[in-house]
Amino acid sequence: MSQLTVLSEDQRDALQELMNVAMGQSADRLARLTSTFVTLSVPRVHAVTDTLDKVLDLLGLGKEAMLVTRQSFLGKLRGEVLVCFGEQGASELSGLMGYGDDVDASTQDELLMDVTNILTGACINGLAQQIQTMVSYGSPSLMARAKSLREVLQEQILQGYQSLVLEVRFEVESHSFMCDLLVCITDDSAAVVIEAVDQLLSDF
Amino acid sequence: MATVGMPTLASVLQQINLGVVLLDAEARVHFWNDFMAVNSGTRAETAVGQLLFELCPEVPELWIKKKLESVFTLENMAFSAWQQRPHLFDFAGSRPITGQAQKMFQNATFFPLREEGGAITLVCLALTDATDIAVQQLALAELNQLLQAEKDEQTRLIKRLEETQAQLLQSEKMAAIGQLAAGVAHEINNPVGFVNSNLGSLKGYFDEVFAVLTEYQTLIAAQGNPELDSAVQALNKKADVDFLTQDIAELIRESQGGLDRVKRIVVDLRDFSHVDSSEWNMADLHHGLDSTLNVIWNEIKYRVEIIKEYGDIPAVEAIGAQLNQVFMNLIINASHAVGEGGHIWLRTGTQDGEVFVEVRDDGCGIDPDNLNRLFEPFFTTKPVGKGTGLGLSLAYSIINKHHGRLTVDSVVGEGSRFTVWLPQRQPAAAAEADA
Repeated sequence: MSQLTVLSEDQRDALQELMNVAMGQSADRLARLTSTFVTLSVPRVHAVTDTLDKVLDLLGLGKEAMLVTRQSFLGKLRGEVLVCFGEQGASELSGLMGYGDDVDASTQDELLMDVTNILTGACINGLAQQIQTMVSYGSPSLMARAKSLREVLQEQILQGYQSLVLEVRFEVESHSFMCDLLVCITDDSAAVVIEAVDQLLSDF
Repeated sequence: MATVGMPTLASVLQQINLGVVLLDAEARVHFWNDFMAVNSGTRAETAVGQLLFELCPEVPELWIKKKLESVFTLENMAFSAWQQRPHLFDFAGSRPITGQAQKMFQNATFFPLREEGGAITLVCLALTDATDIAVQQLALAELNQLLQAEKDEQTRLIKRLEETQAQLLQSEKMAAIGQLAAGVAHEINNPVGFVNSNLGSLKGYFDEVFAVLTEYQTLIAAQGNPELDSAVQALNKKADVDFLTQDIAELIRESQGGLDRVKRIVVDLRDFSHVDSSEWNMADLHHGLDSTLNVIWNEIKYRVEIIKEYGDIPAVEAIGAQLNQVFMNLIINASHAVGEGGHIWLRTGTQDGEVFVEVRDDGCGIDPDNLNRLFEPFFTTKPVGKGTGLGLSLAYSIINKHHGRLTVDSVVGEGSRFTVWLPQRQPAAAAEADA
């Protein structure tokens, strides 16, 4: 039996808090990098032990077509981050990220990769620090264009794979830009996170 | 085991089969290994101390600065992949003889170098040669595209084949019906012939019989025998000879009229189907229209009024039987559209050297959505079992074969107008080839 199914209310709260601290640090750095006001939502924690449909309903972003990118993080903390962009991608941010205003298709993709990498790094580094472990990253890649998340996940994720999904919403207000991050942590490394959470709980 | 010393590690960095560059926040080069030197042609002594975007102008200044800034600020890795930025550095391809790639495809990773104290002053750029994979992937993508294109073409061909087959079936069906009709027409023609000729003789005989009868009566009257007179008159009255004389003539005339109609229908049926003639000859379109009307008269006579507005048109080089089929389809469709008490106008004429036959009705009209699908095989708005959806597509292909055009305009609720446009003469080569 997975530990995820028995994630207690306390553990869930603690994990949410842990992520929140990590996100706070990330938001601060992102704001410094882009010199704008950046909002990262309080992460919501879902244990993916239910069917995929149920999870997507919970996430509330199954249907509309979007651009989805992914990036792996490796080590004791192992998993992938999926970033869901609107159909416009991240073109709004091209100025902020050191690309000109006039961007062609491959530059737009590169921009998406950059944003994916930065957001992934921000979230995962924060989390890794909190649980005091080292992580390394794979390079980001485009997973799907103009598809709904439901389709994407059905095509590319092993059904019945248990993992922990952390949902974070990232907004740059001055540029009307927004995207959703799904931090998926594998079942076995979720145990590492939960251990750290328990440690945190026992410290109180 | 001997510990590996720092000089050895430095050699590894120097000689490894990867580009290794150390950069500070301004993008100034602090280290430049052999891989970079060999591929760029710039020796480490020259490179170190220079700004990367000046040393290699192909690296965009703003881009590299932002990249470095993100690594320094977020203390996180950054990437550049060949898919998005194939040639970060302008290096020659790594397969100079066998490969197609002129330039080296590269993946780059930027990572912060954490010093002992935890401070980060330099970023390491590690560059890998992705030419082999990139070339393979690009070839695959190209192949995929090619396959997809071929697949699309095949789908298109299969669809066309299906359409052609359907049309062939329909025209074969029509030909079979035509053959049958022609056979039946022939069989009917013989008995009708002798009945007609017998009827002619019969009329002559009766005329003679009645003449004799009248003669008898005159003779009897001349005798002045009142007894005989009254007996003859009683006989005449009993047999109603006056009426017989009149009615027999009438009956024979009507029967001859009926036979004439049978003959005309038989001739039209034969003309209409004309199985024997899939040949091009000069066709009289009015004649074709009339025979067609005759053949389908039974189907439309009680419901629709046909108004002919025939103009003055020359004969047209065509396969008459096929054109008749087109007229039949158009007229029957029109009669379905108008329903009880409607009107169908048949107008002919010439315009700009083309001959036209127009079939117009005051029926329900055609929905604009359906207009451009009209000539598609199997497209029908009639209930299941009523229409095959092949009539108009067949008409279209027949007119096409005649190098003509079939146009349609329609207003819902007001009616439709189909116009067949035909050239007077077929282009010489085409007529021979198609015949």
